[in-house]
Amino acid sequence: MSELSYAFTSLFSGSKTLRMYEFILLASSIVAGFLGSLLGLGGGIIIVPTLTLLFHVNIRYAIAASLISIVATSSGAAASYLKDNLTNLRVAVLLEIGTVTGAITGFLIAKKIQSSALFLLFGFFLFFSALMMLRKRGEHLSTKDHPWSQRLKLAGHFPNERGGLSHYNVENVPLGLAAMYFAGVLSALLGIGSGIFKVLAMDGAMKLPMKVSSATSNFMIGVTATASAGAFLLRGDIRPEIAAPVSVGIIIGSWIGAHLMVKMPASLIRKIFVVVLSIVSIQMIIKGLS
Amino acid sequence: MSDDQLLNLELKISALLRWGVLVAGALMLIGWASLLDFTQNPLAAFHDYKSESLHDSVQQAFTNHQWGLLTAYAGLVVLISLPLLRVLMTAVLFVKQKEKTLAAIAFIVFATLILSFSLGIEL
Repeated sequence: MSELSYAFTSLFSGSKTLRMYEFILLASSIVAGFLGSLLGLGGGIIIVPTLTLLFHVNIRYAIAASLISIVATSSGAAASYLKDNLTNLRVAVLLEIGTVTGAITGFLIAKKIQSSALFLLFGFFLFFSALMMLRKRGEHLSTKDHPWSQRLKLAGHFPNERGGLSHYNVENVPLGLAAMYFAGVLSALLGIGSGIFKVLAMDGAMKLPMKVSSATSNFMIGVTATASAGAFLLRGDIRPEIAAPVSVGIIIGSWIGAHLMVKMPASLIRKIFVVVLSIVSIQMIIKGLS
Repeated sequence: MSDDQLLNLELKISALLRWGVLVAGALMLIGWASLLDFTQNPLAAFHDYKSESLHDSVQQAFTNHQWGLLTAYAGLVVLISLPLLRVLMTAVLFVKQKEKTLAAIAFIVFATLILSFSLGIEL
């Protein structure tokens, strides 16, 4: 990757050539936003490695810029998540307590963690994400309703394939809340939306239907990212020189992804992306070890 | 308030957020475009981490009349405040629905977000 990075940057850095780093950054962010919306991922997973490995930006600035781009995509897409009637607003609000307090913890410990450790953690997270993308998610409808769910009326309905409504219950609410705290810590530490962990907790622990957990997770991501992004902004880690092209690019890319109604072979793209994620994860781990 | 009315209100809040993202994006684009400098690599300055608070950066930008930088910062502030607004509006929504516990939870999330922001200010 270092050779690629060198070739990539030297191509545009000749003394007689215009230096176009920021346009390349904008273009990379558009691609990240597009891929993110196509694969149902946040841009963070793409933005942080791009900024650190290709542009040699310090990982702390990269994480902060990535968080702000997550806020942009999540806030912009909120309406479409709600329209499909899949988002469980009640579950989202309850679980946000876990993610927001987790994000505070993540922000506080991020300062004490060395950059090399952040690279290592990000590398392992990417590898885990690649594995999770290969996971087959089975559909399930729980019959048990946790007492907290009964108290807060968390159970709901979602439109099924037969055109009707299916009822679902919510299990293991405390475990889900604890998992959300962990997702919040990772979000602030690595500049990611932690959608993979959120879905895992809602899907696996709380037994929410697949589509409901994906929609609710997407809905929550912006609030989780804001919790630490606000603090990073005030501390001065979010630099407009990096965050502005990244956010603008991600907004444009995800808009294209959502509106371009072409039939993309999503499963093929997913498989290619898994390979790319695995390679990038190794690069991040190597950088962390060096 | 019926479920349909509530969904309507939710969709209005979401539309407001979408407009907010567009305004923030436009401010950042204008600010960033005016910062463009083809004679050097502005990202090179961020290879090493330097601690400089938002307060100091903004003050310096004012002194040096860096209006592009200030516009981009304004975009960032608009963007960060959107999820805050969303949580606050959700709390109001639950109040209208007479869901006291969920409204209280939403207000707690809002207060926690404000607390998290304040942690970024180093005293």
